[in-house]
Amino acid sequence: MAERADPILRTHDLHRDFGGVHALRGVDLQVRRGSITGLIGPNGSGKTTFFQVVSGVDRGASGEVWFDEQQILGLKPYEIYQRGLARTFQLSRVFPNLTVLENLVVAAHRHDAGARERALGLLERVKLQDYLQVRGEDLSYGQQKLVEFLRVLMSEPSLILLDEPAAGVNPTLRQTLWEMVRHLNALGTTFLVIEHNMEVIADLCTEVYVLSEGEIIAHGDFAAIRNDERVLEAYFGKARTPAADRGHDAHA
Amino acid sequence: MPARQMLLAALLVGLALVIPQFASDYYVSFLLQLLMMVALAQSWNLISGMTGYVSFGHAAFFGIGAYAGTLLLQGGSPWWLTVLEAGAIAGLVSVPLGLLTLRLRGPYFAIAMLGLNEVGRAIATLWVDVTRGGNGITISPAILPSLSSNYYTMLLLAAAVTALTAWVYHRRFGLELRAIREDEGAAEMVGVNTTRNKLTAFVLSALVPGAVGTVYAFYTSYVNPSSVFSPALNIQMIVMVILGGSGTVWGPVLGATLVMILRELLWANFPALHLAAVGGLLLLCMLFLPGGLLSLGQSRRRLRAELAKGGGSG
Repeated sequence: MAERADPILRTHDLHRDFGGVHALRGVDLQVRRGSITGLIGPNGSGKTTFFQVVSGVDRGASGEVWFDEQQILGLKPYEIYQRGLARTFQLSRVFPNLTVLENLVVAAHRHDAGARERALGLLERVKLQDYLQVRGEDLSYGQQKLVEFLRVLMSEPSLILLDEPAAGVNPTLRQTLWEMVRHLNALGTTFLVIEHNMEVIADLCTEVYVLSEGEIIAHGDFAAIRNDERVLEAYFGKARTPAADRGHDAHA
Repeated sequence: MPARQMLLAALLVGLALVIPQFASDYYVSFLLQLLMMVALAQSWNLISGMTGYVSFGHAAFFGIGAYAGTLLLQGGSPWWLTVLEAGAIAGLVSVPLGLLTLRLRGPYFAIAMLGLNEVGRAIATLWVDVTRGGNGITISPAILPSLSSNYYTMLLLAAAVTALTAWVYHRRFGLELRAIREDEGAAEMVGVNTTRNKLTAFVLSALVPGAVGTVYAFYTSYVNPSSVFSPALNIQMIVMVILGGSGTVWGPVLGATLVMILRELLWANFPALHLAAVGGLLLLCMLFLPGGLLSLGQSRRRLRAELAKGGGSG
């Protein structure tokens, strides 16, 4: 789907403090409708906190979060989900004692008569149709992550936040997952993705935001941010310039 | 509910309907107590089995119902209406209590509910003008319903709460409750209004104990604080549900029946041992069958399915 200029998600001056720790410091971020936007940064930079705040799990933040032109900061997670913003978790959180089918159906909208059929269709698409009655806890970790991803698709959200969806997933399932993301994006779903694999970010995302110590330090396309000195410093601790690299080689 | 289970339910209710026609009062009394425990265990299952919020204070609703029913009956209300009114009162009381206690999770909720039961007992003991304190209230036989009326009312209550559990279990509401039990945070993240669902389940789980408490008061013709606000009664509900299968439709029925029959058999012959036997059974169950006795059937079905799958692919 072609991206549109109007943002589906916009945060302004978003702050979140935990005692003396400033997890988010005035984060301004825009996710364009129809895009796959990346959110990267070193460990502890505030990426998951950002997801927690935007999805309503953490309601202790200040600032503004606009989704589809509506302020959603302070809403409960289920209210945000029902408005069309869904997320996955860094570590799989399938319902362990519910079957795969139940895991999916429970995430559909309440009066959705076609939930079961949609669940079957999604499972067939990722070749998990034989696992309908298998309990969540009996799946492999990669399958659990996939089911968790399918679960948020049940409500046909317009924006999905993916928190390291491919972590711990085997290469085949990972491929399936990214193919689904591309397919859904082509159909109009917007994604904001936290991912540590830079090849995936480069391949998938049209725009990337870089968080470091709770601040957005760079944004733009991947080619632009990969050479940004602030980004290199955040990741490697100091600016790596070609000259510095040559000097380092010379000393080696 | 699957057709086979409907048939089983119809058979059980049919059997319970005709037993008083040929059984002695002793057996009718025993069955009445069994049905009472089925109704209570099933009610506890509605909130604690379904959502994982373990209540140590559901006897409070039983106690509220017992006192409310006794006072209403003495005030001139027809006995059958009293049963309904007591259930409604327990349900009404449960709304603010649920709003307060369901904010807590895990052991905090359990302890808050235990405290609630103790508060109920204290009120019943200290509000002497209304409850006659520790002396309790004896109901005049002239206004009491007969044993068979109490029996059939208890049967109706046990059947109603089992039917309600089955209805909830097979509905979207039941699925949402089970999702809350599995992971409340994740449930909320997929659109489940956890506060509303938990409160609804809590109120539903309080209605029947209120009504059952009234029938129990009629049956014993006497009510006092320690007999109805009884932590032991609450522990029995928990034991029965865990033994049969928590969060299932038939687990509480099976658990209550098994424990009551065991108790009856052991009580007469080994009075010192019967509680130890029930405790031992529970321990074995928790160690080897954490899903309760009903999970035995499910494990077998799963094993058969696994074997069939292995056979098919090999």
